[in-house]
Amino acid sequence: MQRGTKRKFGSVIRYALLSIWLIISTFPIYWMVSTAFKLPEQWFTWPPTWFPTPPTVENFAIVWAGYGMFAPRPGFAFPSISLDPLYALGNSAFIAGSATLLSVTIGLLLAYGVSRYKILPEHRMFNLLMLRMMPPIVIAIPLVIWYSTLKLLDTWHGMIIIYTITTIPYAVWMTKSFIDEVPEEMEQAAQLLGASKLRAFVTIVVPLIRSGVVATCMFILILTWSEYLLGLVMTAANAQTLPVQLSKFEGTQEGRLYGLQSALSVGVTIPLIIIGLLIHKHLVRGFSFGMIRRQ
Amino acid sequence: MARIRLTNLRKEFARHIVAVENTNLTIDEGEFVVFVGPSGCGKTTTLRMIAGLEDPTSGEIHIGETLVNNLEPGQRDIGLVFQNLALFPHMSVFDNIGFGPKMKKMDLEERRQRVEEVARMVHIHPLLPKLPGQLSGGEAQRVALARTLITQPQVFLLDEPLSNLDAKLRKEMRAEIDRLHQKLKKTFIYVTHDQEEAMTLADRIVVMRDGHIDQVGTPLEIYHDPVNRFVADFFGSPPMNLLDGALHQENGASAFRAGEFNARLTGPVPGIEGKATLGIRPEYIAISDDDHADGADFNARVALVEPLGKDTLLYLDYGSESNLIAVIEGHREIRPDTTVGVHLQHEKLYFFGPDERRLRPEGVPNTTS
Repeated sequence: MQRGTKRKFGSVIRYALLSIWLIISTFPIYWMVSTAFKLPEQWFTWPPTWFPTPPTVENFAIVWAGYGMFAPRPGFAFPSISLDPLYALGNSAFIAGSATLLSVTIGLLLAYGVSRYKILPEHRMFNLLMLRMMPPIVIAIPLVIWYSTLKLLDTWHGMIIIYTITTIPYAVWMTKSFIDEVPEEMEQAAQLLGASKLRAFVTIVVPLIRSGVVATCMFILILTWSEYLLGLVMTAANAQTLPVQLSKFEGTQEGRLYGLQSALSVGVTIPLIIIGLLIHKHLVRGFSFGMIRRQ
Repeated sequence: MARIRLTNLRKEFARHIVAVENTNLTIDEGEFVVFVGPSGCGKTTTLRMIAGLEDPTSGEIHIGETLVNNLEPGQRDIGLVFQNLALFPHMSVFDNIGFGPKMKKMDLEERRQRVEEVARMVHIHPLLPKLPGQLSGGEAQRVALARTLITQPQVFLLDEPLSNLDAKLRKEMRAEIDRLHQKLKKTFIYVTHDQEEAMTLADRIVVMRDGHIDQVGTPLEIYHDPVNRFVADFFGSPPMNLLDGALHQENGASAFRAGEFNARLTGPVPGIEGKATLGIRPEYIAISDDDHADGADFNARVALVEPLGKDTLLYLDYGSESNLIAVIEGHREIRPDTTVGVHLQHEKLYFFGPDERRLRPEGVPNTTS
């Protein structure tokens, strides 16, 4: 075979494999979106209904606008559970947003200390990550007991605290790798030119690692936004988050309300996608390390 | 006043690694001093202590009459050019150069004037709107210089500033730095491991090794009067020939033997016998084509001839593992594998003891300490 043909053949194979992978990885998302537009009788059919015919927005109306507002057609399933997705959305946004900001701020300061002053030796950095290796269910029960004593169960600040603590290790690890990339001489140069340590940090280090910090925020936001287990055991009516509500569509009483669940899932996913699109420039730079050119 | 005085300076890193010890040095105002030595000799650590980026374990640093040990780097009235330049990659050249004045709260109009003035001084005026990533190595170098120049420090510290440039550009920048020193008349301390840079730039050279100072002197003193084998070997290109052997007496006269090599010494000789190293610079070796020429110290086989145009390098095999290198002026028709007579200039011989210290002939005073 000639070299040119060989190369062409190779790229055909490569794109074929990538296409298969693309289908496998995006199919669940397609299925979620399409189910959200299906009528109840199409949720379970076999062979599956690939396209909702006709598409309906009733699932969205019921889930997001309250099921009293529309007069659904007979036979349309009603959840018999108490749901307030908009309230839960607010909870999720506030809790995940606050925890992300806190976690990355604290993580950044710690990472700076680790990177520049070696406040944690290398093995302690691993210990930090080891904490996160523990299955969350192991700490869930003790945490519930502890939280009930501290009167933190089912409170916003309680959830913010626990999400901050559990994500700090990631924040430290990620931001440290970005700070390590900034040569210390740059800060020293700034200091020799008359800047204070803090000023050098703010005017030199922060702008250089901005993309990395944004990427870290996104990563931690996704973690906390979609956290389920701790949300389930530590919240009730007051501080319940969206993922917890998402789980309530399957049960002995209500059956399997796939269409409604999908409609809610779409709503859970969209905010992350919007944020991701808004900051995609930073994400590309932040996740591809080595963004600073060394002279 | 920007006279710099280092007193009993010592720096120990974690786990008792001593980087610098027992360092005493006074650098006069306006002097161009070069710290030179192999990597790991403590020259950069010493510079960083002067800059305040490293705290000495013990000892004192005075700049002028002020003890600066406890002053922040920004308060010492010094400028430092880093080896990797450390330009701020997210700021334009203008903002890089204007960073110092901005920290001193100079207003924009005045700052613009100062930046443009300094940029003209080092010929980078057209580059002001660019980002550091768009500059060539030489341009980045000039920007780093300008960023330091603008703050008008009393002392300039330069840490191997030319090591990332190619040979031609390095020579060009070397001349530029020399010109700046003559113009500004400020104290310059320059760190390098390149002996040629040290020789050409320095008023005085400080030779360092293993954390301490071996010798301080003018370039010519260092070249012609090294205190030990290390200094002798470090300076000069091609380097000094060093022959390990022994001094002994032969028929009432001093002689030096190294392997098959044996030469009577007619110049001044240290009055001892035993193991020693003989040193001679390549330019003090002469060659006679005829191997039976009268007065030749010994005969050697020509192993290799390297014509450099102006000079010719000869590698002479005298029966030892290493060759003796001789530099002869111009081009001479000498073929490899011929035998030639070798003449050493006996008054230009150096002797070093087994402890590497210079063995001085009796009656010849030690000119540097």
